[in-house]
Amino acid sequence: MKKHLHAFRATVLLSAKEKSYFGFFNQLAQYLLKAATLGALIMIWNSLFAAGVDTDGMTLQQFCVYTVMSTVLAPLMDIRTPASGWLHEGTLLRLYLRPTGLFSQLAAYTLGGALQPLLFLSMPVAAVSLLFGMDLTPASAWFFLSLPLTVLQGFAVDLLFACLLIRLDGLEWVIHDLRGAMTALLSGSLIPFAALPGKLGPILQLSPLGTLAGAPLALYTGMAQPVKILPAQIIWNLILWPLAAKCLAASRERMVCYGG
Amino acid sequence: MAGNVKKTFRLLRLYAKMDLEWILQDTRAVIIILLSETVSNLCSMAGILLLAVRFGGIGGFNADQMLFMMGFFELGGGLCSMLFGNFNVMHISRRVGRGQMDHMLLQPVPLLSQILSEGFMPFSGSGQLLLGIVLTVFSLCRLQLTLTVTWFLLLCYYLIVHTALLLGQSFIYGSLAFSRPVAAEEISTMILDVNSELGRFPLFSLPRPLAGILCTVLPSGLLAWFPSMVLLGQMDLTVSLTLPFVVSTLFVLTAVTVFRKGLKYYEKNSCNRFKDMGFRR
Repeated sequence: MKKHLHAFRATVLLSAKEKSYFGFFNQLAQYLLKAATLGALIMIWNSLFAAGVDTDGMTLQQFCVYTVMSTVLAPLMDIRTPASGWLHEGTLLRLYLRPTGLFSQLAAYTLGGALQPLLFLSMPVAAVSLLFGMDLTPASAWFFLSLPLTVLQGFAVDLLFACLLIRLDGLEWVIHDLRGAMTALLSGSLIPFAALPGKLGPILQLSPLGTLAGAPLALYTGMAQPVKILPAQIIWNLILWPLAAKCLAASRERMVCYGG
Repeated sequence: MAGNVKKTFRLLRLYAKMDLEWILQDTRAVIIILLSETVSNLCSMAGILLLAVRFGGIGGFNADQMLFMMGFFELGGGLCSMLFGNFNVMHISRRVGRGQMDHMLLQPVPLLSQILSEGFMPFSGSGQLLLGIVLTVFSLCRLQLTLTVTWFLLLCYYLIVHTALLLGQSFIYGSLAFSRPVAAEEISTMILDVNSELGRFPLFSLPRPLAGILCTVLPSGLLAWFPSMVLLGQMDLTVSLTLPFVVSTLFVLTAVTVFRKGLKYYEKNSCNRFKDMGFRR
């Protein structure tokens, strides 16, 4: 057990220190893109509130904090293990040759990989928001339970997407784009569910993707009550994890890696 | 000159045929790609659109006008992707950064003809364009605009501007890959992503200097928001014709100049990632 923990910690550190293949400036440009989207959304909230629209009692502060925190917590709420990319490149096969489990290796690489964006994107965004006078205190302490559940569920969802990639014979970029667009809308990481029209928000809030980003953010900003959200998160974890493990086991024989 | 034009059209026909043959050979993959492209494009614009529906509009646009703007964005993006989407022509930094320019320079066809024809995929690359057409027609039906010949000419004009701006930016920034092949390999993708993210936002709420930047230096505002303002009759025609023309022309001219300089650098230094069978094939 101790040996495995040591290997896990070493892999996390290795992954955290790993340089991006395309270099730091490439990474920085991606962070700037995220910051630009954040700025555009905050401008939209400002314009909506300036126009005096009916927001069902929600405040501009809540919307702005939601948007800021969705960027700050993005590396934890949108879990992307290297499984899909490595499957395409052929690197995934080497994980099977090591004396530790596939899940723990993927988890270690993902957690390590999240450290850089947390340092270079999340912290500056949070600091700038505080400087602008935004109150980033969570509205509910249940958020601290919701976030780990989101991270756990995120791993399961990512593995299911990797299985989908295997089933579709490695159409990596198609799945990548599809996933990016779908999770942005359906996970609530871009627009709060409370701002969606009709019954769409409450329905999405309890969906498997909606409980990813939407759940902790809604609790953080006080846009939703934990009574419905937390049980939904627990239920989806209980459903998605066995499903992901089963799908991955079934897909193992179907893996085709290009290599190179 | 006339010979080169003929050659380009012959190549376009050839690439269209190859695209059709691919569809006939691997229909399953094409259907999956088209479907997922449609879903991902719908999802990308749905967020802003749903906000417009929920709050009765954003800034100066009501929900139907926002739908038109999104439709126009998909129309422009779809046209660009159908004409230049294949073989990384739009993402030119990948071709340059992977040392694949040699493969182009070896061909007995002018480089410009190759750039204008290689990306053409009229069948498998038409998903976004079809989505754009459906959304634009649907929004126009709801808006009940009076459509004239001038209006259609304006629509075509702004679609050309959209394409010129995207390609221009991709080639300007992509030329960095001549000197920095690894670091800048994905720079065209990144600049296209910036445009894709910001181009869908209406800029009404931005302070004037920022809106000015987004309509000139980083012209994502000219991709859909500005044209929609004009086509929906919310802007004076003089400015609306001049600004996109000047900006897109400048971007194209700069792209040509910068890319030529890059090619000269490449002729002297080549690329350390060159492989005869193609880096990453």
